[in-house]
This record gives sequence, C-alpha cells and structure tokens, in this order.
Amino acid sequence: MSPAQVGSSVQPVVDFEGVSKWYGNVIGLNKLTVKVPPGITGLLGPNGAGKSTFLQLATGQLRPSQGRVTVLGQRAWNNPELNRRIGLCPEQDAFYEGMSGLEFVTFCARLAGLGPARAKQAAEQTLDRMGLAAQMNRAIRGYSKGMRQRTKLAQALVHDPEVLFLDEPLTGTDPVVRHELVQIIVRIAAEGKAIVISSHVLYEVQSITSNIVLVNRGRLVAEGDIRQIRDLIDTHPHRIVLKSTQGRNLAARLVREEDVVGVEVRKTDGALLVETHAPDQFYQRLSQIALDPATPIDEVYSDDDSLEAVFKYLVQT
Amino acid sequence: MSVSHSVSRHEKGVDRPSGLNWSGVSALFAVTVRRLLGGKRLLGIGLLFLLPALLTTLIRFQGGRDEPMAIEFAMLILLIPLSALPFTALLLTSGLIQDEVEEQTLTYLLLRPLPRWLIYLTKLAAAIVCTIVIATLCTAINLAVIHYEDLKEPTELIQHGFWLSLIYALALFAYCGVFGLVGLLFRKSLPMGVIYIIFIEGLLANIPFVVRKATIIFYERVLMLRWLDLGKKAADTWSIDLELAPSSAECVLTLLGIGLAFGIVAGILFTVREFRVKTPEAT
Repeated sequence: MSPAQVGSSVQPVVDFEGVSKWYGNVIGLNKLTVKVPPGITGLLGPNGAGKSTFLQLATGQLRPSQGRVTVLGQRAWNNPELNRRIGLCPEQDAFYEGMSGLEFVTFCARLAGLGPARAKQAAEQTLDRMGLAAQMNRAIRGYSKGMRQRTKLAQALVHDPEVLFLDEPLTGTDPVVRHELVQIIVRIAAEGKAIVISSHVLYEVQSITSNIVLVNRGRLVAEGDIRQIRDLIDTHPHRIVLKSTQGRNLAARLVREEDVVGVEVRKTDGALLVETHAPDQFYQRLSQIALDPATPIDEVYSDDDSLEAVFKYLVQT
Repeated sequence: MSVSHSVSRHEKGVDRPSGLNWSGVSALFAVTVRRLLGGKRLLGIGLLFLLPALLTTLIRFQGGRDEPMAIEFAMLILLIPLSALPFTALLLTSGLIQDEVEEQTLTYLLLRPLPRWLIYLTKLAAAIVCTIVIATLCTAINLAVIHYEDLKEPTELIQHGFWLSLIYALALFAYCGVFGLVGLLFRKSLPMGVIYIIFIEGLLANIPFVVRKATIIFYERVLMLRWLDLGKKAADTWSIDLELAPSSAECVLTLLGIGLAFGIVAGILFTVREFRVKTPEAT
C-alpha cells in the first residue's frame, strides 16, 4: 500500500525529507518523508519498524545516510544548540544508579546549561510535577519501574524543551502507572509542547492522540489523523458488527446493498460481521433498515474503530 | 499521585543561555570524577601504586635489610613507570566513553547543548586529574614509607618527591591521551591497551634504537635521569646516553604533545562518530 499522507499547512516540528538510514547492509529507514505537526504525534509501528532509528535521527544522535532531518527548522545531526530546545525520554532503562533522582535530574539540568542553583530548583519542580517529590532524594537504584519512567521524563523536561521525544515511555509499566504517565503526557502537551511518542502498542497511543505516523520496515505507511487514515484505506473494507434477533433476515437484506462486500455470521454470538467500502453511506442507511420490523438491529459497533485494526490493515497488506 | 500546577518557564528560571556551558562542563567533570573514583577499580589501582610501600613494610617486619635507595630504584623508578602508570591510565581512560555506551547512559550526555568534543575532553580531563592525584598521593606515601628514616629532615625528600611526581604526571597525561583514543577505536580496549603496554612500552622502549623514541616511557626515563640524578648505573640499565638523549624541555613537550595530539584526534573522532543505542530489529 502506498503511504497515506494527510496534508497540513502547519509548520512542521520535525521534518524528514527522503531520509534513509543504513546500518551496514541493514536498512533502518528507507526514503522516509514525513512532517510531524505541533501537538502530540504517535509514532507507531511493530518492533523493528524503524521507530527508534527515527527518534535517534530526530534527536541528532544518528546522521542520516541520505536525505535531510530538521527539527524546529534546524539540522538535527550533531547540533548542540538544537539540544536546548528538545528533550528525549529514551527507551532504555538506564541511569547513573548511584545518584538520587534529584541529583540525576539536576545533573541533566546543568548539562542543559542551567547554573547550579537554578538547576536544582528546576529539578525539584520538575520531579514534583512528576509526583516524585517524596522520593527525589532516594537513590535511583531503589526506584520502582514507574518511578524510573517518571525520572526519565523529568530529565527530558527539566530544561523546558519545546519538543519532547518519548521512546516507548509506557513499556513495562502496570496499568496504574500507565494511566499516570498518560495523564502527565497529556498535561505536558496542554502546556504547548510538541510531543512525539513512539509505541508498538496501539491502544497505549490512541488514548493520548489521534494524530499518528505509521512506519513499518523503515518505510512510512501512513500519517495524519487516524480517522482520515481510515478513510484513505478504501481498498480495505470497513468491518461493522450488527446484533439482531433476526440475523438471517438482516443478512439477506444487507447482501443486496451495493457497497457491502460481505456478510458473515460470527459463531460466538451470532452477530453479523459486515464488510463495506463505504462506511459513511452504510451508517446513514442503517437507521432505515433498523426501522423495518423484519430487520431489527439491537446493537451496532465498528469492529475497526480502534487503532489496532487500522494498524493491522495498513501494515499487514 | 500528586499533580501540581503547571510551572512556567519564567517561574522555573529556565531560559536559553548561550555561550559556553560552563555549568554543564563542571557538572560533567564532577560526575566523571565521582564515577572514576568509585567502586573496586580504585582499590585495585591503589594496591598497585602502593605496592612499594607495602613491600617495604613487609621487609621491615620480616627483619630484612632495609636499603631505601635500592627499594626506591627498583619500585618507583623501574616498576611503577612500567606498570602502575600505564595500567592506571588504561583503566580510567579506556572506558570513559565505552562504559557510558555499555551502560546506555551516553544518550543523556549527547542530548545536551554541549559540543561533543567538549564532552570528550571534559571527561578526559577528569580522568587525567584523577590519575595524577592518585599517583601523587601514592608517591608521597611510598616515599614516606621507603625513606622513613629521613623524615626528620624532609626538605630534600619533598623536592625529590615533587620531581618524581611531575614526571609521573607528564607520563600519565600522555598515557591518558593514548588510551582515550584506544577506548574509542576498539571495542575491546582493555586487551588492546595491555598489548600496547607490554609490546610498545615494555619491549620497544628497551631496544636501544631510534624506534624507542616512539614510546612514552623513553622520555620518562630521560627525565628521571636528568631530574632525579640517578647516576650512570640507571643510564646503563636503560642504555640511554644523556649526551645524545633529548633535552628535558624536549621530553616535556613531547609528552605534553602526545597527550594533546591523541586527545584532539579522539575529540574529533567522538564528534563525527555515531553511537547507536539499539540494534535495529528485523528490518
């Protein structure tokens, strides 16, 4: 499938132009062109899709083999000045373990250019925002997974960057911590920061943003709003589940519709799985069909309203 | 979980300072020193450096003959320059960047508004300072123990210790520069460093031929002969003719030049090199 691009006139925060990255004979990214707008953007793809390569290129850790990477209009590779304006929460669970959370974040703040007193103040405030006020003087080696994730987030935020890159920030966290982290991320975005969050778990991201960039095997699969993307995948049928006491009648009626590709009875509960290329038109007709006593409809829901289904459609074909 | 109010940039006192980031440099220096001096590595280095003092104490307790000058020559002039100095530099310098890569903490340094060459040179400077401080302290302890009888009139001993420590410091400066680059060039930098110490500094330096001028220990020995008044016996031991050997100034400049040149090359290499955190999977 060709990349589904959703156009935008907004100045991009991250701009990849024909970017390829090779690791010897292995391709990390393959001629990737994508513009990431302000706000929260989900960088999605299965393991090995090129998400970490994308983030390492965007944060200037790697040099593109081909093409151009700019962030906030500046070249990303080896650009210390740009680093004042960006923050990265890396995927790896790595710290200077002997330090306390406060020492670590203060150290990062000083590396970012803040003087000793201001760095400590900023670190305390940022850790407080992350909910680590009570634990900030404890050694990091004794932190729980959630506390470590929040400490990583704090070091990325302590110098008040304009763009925040989060590499799989929710991985390995329990549902409670995940919920807390999602709240923090949404709040940071509400303060006006652009956030690029990578994940291979779609349900994690869909609760944070509907704006996604989908990569697979180093290539861009789709970008834009999840619903726009779904509209663009017209070659793939939209699946709608209908529950009815008169399933047989309803199926017979539906197969006559032009835009219906197929109707299938689900064995588990007898619900009808309807595949259509024109979901909007189909939904409009449904109310009329439901009013017919011969074809009552008790429940309707889209089987692929989640990112998971869109992701499946896009990357598996 | 507590959710406090949003803190504005002004409230936090966070602005975007320009110019050289001295706060970052000093913080990186301090953290590097803390990391270098922590753990078992320091214990091993301390034992290696303090071997002369330990052996002297042992000899005294055993009631053996106490010949301070002979012990000093064997230990501080022959043994330490060939073992403790290069190995300390190797242990503290070769892992400067490699340890950060292996522990995956290098990202935290590279993502800051510090030029990469400055990150490297700051860490290298921290390693040089650590090695020189360790060497100086241990030399003072060694001399005090070896020349225990002369401590009542220490002026000459202090002068002697000063010159010996200065020679050690110059050698460590050069070694740190070399092994810093080795640490960037080779994944297995420790074995490479050991090979360098044994074959270049250990063997090549003892061949009375022009190639020994490519070793650090040669200049160290010439300085010892010139500054410590070791006598003809030492010159014969090393097959060095002071009439033909480089002057003290040449030796000092050569050692400083080696350290600087290798440090600069390593700084450039660190600037242009990519440090990939994670191997790409299945692409």
